[in-house]
Amino acid sequence: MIASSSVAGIEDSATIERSLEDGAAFAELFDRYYQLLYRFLRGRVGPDRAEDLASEVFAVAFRRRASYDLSRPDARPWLYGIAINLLRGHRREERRRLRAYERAAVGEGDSELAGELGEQFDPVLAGALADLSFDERTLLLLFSWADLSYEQIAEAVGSPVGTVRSRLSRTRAKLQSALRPPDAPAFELKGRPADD
Amino acid sequence: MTELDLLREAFVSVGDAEPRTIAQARRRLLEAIDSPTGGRPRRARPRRLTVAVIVVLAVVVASAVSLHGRLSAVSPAAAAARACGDSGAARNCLDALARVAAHGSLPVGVIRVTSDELMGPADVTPWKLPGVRRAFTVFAVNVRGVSIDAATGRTVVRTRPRGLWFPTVADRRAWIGAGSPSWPSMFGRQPARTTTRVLASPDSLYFYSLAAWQRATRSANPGAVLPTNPGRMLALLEQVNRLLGQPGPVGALATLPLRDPLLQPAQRAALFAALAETQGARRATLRDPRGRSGPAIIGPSGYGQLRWITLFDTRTSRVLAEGVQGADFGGSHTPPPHRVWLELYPAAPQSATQP
Repeated sequence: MIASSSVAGIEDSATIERSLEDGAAFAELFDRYYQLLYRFLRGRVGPDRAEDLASEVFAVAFRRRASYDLSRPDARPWLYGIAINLLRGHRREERRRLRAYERAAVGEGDSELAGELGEQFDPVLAGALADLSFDERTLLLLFSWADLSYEQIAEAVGSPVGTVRSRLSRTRAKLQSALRPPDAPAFELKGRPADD
Repeated sequence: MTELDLLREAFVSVGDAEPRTIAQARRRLLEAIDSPTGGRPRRARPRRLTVAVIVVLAVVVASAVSLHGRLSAVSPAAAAARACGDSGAARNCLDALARVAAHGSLPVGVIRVTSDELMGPADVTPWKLPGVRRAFTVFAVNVRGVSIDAATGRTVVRTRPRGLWFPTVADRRAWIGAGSPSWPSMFGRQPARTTTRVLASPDSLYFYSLAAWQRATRSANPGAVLPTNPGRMLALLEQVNRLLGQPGPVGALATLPLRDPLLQPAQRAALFAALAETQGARRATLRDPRGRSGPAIIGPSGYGQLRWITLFDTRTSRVLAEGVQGADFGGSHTPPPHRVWLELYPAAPQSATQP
């Protein structure tokens, strides 16, 4: 389920604006988005690191709330942007984890580690994700896990929308290629719904 | 099934945060909000405590005024540190600052540290605020004062929103010249609200890491037991780093206790020596938003491309300003050049009086 930027008619930007005067109001943003951020981070670096990083995201966001562009009602791209900057320092750890999931399929990996994410995380998919660069993986997961639109991803990573679109297309094609069994036809490339 | 379906299916199996985790994280955020940099509205306080705080603050202010002149002396060691503001490697600069610190005197009595917390650049545009004639970049400022009673170890923190901060006098003139409104006319009243807190320990000096410092030193008051041996100091910093689960070098940590006005000169010198061991730190001559120029150490933070900046006063070895810089702080909200000053301290950031 994707959290809305508007809870009971209150936009994130209004909450942040209010928190400039009343810091405690910022806790509303935490209540709205902590779980989302935590799951995104947990999927990438595991539960222990996700706890720290998700907490740090809100600490950083709180300190920097005065620089938030209040014309943007949805704070998710901003929060994910902070999360990604924090994640950069853990990209090697993320890749190690993905390799562990991949190896678990052939009984070589850390089964406890692989168990954290459950059997749904396909070992081949984990290997393919590990082969992507941090930025490619980030774009893809912001799109598929965080369910951000192209414009929101562009806002989160600080790149032009056109660049995000083209890089995401290339990354998806790369991932498709990695997932395709030998001699199998290519996946059908489905676009996002029209409202994205 | 597309690759996106596979990814989404994988994400479904990612577990939620447990209620305990959420509660801990929320508490941590609320502590940050409640901290002196949080800008929390004034809470009702018992009258007795208010009176005590007023008395402490009065003593603090008096002491600050009476001893202002004490800090004007320039030690010989400061000359070497001043020279490193113009050239030289980070290590040489920090070694010189260590010598300045070692020759310092330990203040006693009631200590006062005041800093301006820059809440980050804010764009004030005509369409956001009525009466603003053209776009400006200003800073919102909180004034934070930390007072420590050396006898009791109690800390009093006072935070006061002070409104707009213009990077230069010219910026302020441009604002006025454009007929833009004053803070009261924009927000109804002068921001004079004050938040005062009495803390059992100087947590604000250690930011979020006080618990780790306490565990590493096995002391409720880490500043009192920090080692004076540079090697031991480095080992301690690495231990704190491990407890915090940070992958990065220790340099950013070393700057935290440097704000503690009760540190012994030898402890400060050891911190500078440990800081000099930080891989990847470099020296630069920078100017803070108050226009003060000096040697700054820029070092890796452990968080990707984010780097911490500490600007030093070569006369006293004290921290003048702190900030961060990086390629990008999170999307498009941070204007170039992606260097943000977070905290400004006065040139002589501490005053002391005999008990």
